[in-house]
Amino acid sequence: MNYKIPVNLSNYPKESLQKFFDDFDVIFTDCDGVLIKENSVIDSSNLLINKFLENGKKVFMVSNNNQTTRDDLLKKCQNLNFNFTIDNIFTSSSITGMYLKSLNFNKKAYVIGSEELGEELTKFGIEHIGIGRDDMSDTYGEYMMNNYKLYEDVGAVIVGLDKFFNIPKMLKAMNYLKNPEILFLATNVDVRSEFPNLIFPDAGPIVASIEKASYRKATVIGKPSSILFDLLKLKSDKERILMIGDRLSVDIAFGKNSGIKTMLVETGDDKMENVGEILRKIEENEENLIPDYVVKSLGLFL
Amino acid sequence: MPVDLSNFSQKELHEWINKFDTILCDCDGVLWSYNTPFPGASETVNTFINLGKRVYLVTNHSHILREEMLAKCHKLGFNVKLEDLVTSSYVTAHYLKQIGFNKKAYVIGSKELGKELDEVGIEHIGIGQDNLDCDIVQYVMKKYELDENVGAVIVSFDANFSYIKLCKAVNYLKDKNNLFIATNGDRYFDFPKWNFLLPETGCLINAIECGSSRLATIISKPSTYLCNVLAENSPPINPKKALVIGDSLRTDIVFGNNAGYETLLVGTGVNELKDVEEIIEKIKSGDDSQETKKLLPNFYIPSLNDFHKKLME
Repeated sequence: MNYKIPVNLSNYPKESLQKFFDDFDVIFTDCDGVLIKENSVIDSSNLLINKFLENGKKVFMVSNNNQTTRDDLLKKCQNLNFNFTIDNIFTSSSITGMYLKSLNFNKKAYVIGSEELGEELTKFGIEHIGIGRDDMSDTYGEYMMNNYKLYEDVGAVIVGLDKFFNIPKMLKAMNYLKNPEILFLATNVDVRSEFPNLIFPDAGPIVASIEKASYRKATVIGKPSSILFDLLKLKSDKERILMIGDRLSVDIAFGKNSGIKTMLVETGDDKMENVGEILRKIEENEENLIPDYVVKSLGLFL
Repeated sequence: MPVDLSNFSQKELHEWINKFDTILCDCDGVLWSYNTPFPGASETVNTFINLGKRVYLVTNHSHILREEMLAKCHKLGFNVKLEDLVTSSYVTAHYLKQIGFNKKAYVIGSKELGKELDEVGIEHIGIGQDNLDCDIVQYVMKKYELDENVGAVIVSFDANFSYIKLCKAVNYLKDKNNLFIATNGDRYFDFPKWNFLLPETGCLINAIECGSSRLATIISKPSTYLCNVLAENSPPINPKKALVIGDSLRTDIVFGNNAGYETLLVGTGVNELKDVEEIIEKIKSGDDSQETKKLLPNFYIPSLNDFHKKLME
C-alpha cells in the first residue's frame, strides 16, 4: 500500500496558498473543468497561470481533445486572457505526432479520427490516409470486392474520436493490425462527454471495438499515459513538477504515471467525495487515482 | 480427455447414437464452411433424422432468415424442415416475446433481425442507414430526441453501424430499466479465401458496453435461451438424452454444459483435440474453475465424415 491521504488545501490560510506554487517549477494542467468551463474562465484562473508564466515557470496545458487544433485552442485561451503561446499547448493529436516523430516513423498512418487530428499529424510530417467519410453505398459484398484495399506502406493505425466511424473503417483497421509490425495507437481512451440532455461517446468505445476485433491492445498516447512526460525529458526534480486536473482516472493518473505531484481541482468532474470512495475501498490499481492535494478551485491561490 | 468416437466399432457407434433423442448441431465448421458442405455432413444429419431423432441446426448468425437457411440446407442436401432451424435473431425475437416485452426496441442490426421482430409483433426503430450529416455540436443543437417508448437496445451485426448509432444506443442505455440485449457475441467473420476479417456483432457490443458502462445479455450460445424458445412449440428436451455437436469449445460445448446436455466436439472448425489437451493441462495445474471445466466436451470426432464412413462400413 503506497498512498497518502490527500491534503485538502481549501481551508488553508491565504498566506500559505499564495506561496504554495513557489515549490514548483513546472506545472502541467488540464483545460476543461480547471481553467475554462464552456467558454468562460473559471475563477480567474488565467491570472494564476499568467503569474506562473511571469515567474518563469514552465506551464504545459494538456488536453485529450482531438477535435480541435492547437492553434484554435490557443486562440480560445488567448481570447480569455491566458498569455499562452503555442509551446504551452498540447493535445492528444499533437502528442501523437511528437511520439511518432520520436520513433523516426517514416511510413503512412491509417487514421480513424477527425480532420483536426489529421492536420496536427501533417504538421509533424506524418503522412496519413483514412480520414473523412468512408461510406458503403453498395452491399457489403460489393464493397469488399470494389473498395477494400490495404496499402502496403502503412506502418501505423491511429484511432481517435471519429464521427464518421463505421464498419468499413473498423474492417480496414482490424486487417491492417493483423500485421504485428504495424503500430496500434489510440489518441485517448476517454469514454464519453456528458451534456445536459445527451451523452457523446468519445474515442474509448471506438478503440474498444478495434481492440476486440484485432485481439490487440492499443498504445494510449493521451492522459493518463505518461508518454508526453517522457517525451519532454524535463530536467527539473519530479518533486517540483505538479499536474493539476479535475479527473482522477485521466489527469491524476497521468501525474502518478509520470511520477510527479498531483492536484485535484473540484471545479470540474471529480470531487473529494470521489477520492473518499476510493480510499474507503481501495482496489489494486486505484492507488494511481489518489491526488496529493485537493482544492476547491484555483481561485483560492490568488 | 473426451471419448474419441473414431475408435468405436460400427456396433458401438449405433448403440451410442441410440442414447439420444434430440441433437442440436452447430453449422459453420461442422456441416459446412460458408457455402461449401463438408463431406459426410448431410449424410450424417439425414441419418439422425431417419433414426427418428429430433434434429436442430443451430447457428449464432443473426443476419440470415430461417427461410434463407432452409433453402441453403436443401441445396446442400440436408433434409431438414423450417422448424428445425435456429438462428440467434429468431431466438432473440421469440425470447423477448416470451418475457412479455411490450415496448419498442432500438435496434442496431440487419433487416433480417427486423423481420424476426416483426413476426412476433415487437415494434422497432433504428435499422438501416444512419449517418451524421453535420457537426456534432450542430447535432446537439438540433436537439436530437430520444423515443420515450424504447424499452430495450438490441445489438446485432449491422453493416450500417456508425458513430451516431453508437451514440443513440449509449443514450438509450442511460436508463437502467432499458434492456441491453445482443443476438450473439462472435468477434468476426473469417474469409480465409480472400484473406480478410470482417467485424461481427462482438466488436459492436464492445463499443457499446464501453460507452454505456453496462454489460450486454448475449442471447446466442453459450447462453441457453434457445432452450426456452424451443420449448414453446415442442415437447421439452430431456437433457439426459440430448446431444450438442459443435466445433467451438467456448460457444457450443459451454452451451451444452450449461444446458446439461452431452457434448461432441468435431475437429473441422475452430477447435481441435489439442485445444482440449491444453485445457486439461490448465486444470491439472490449478485452474479448476467452473468456467474452465465447462469448456470440456464429453466426446470427440475428427469430422462428421468419420461418423458417416463408420456407419456405412
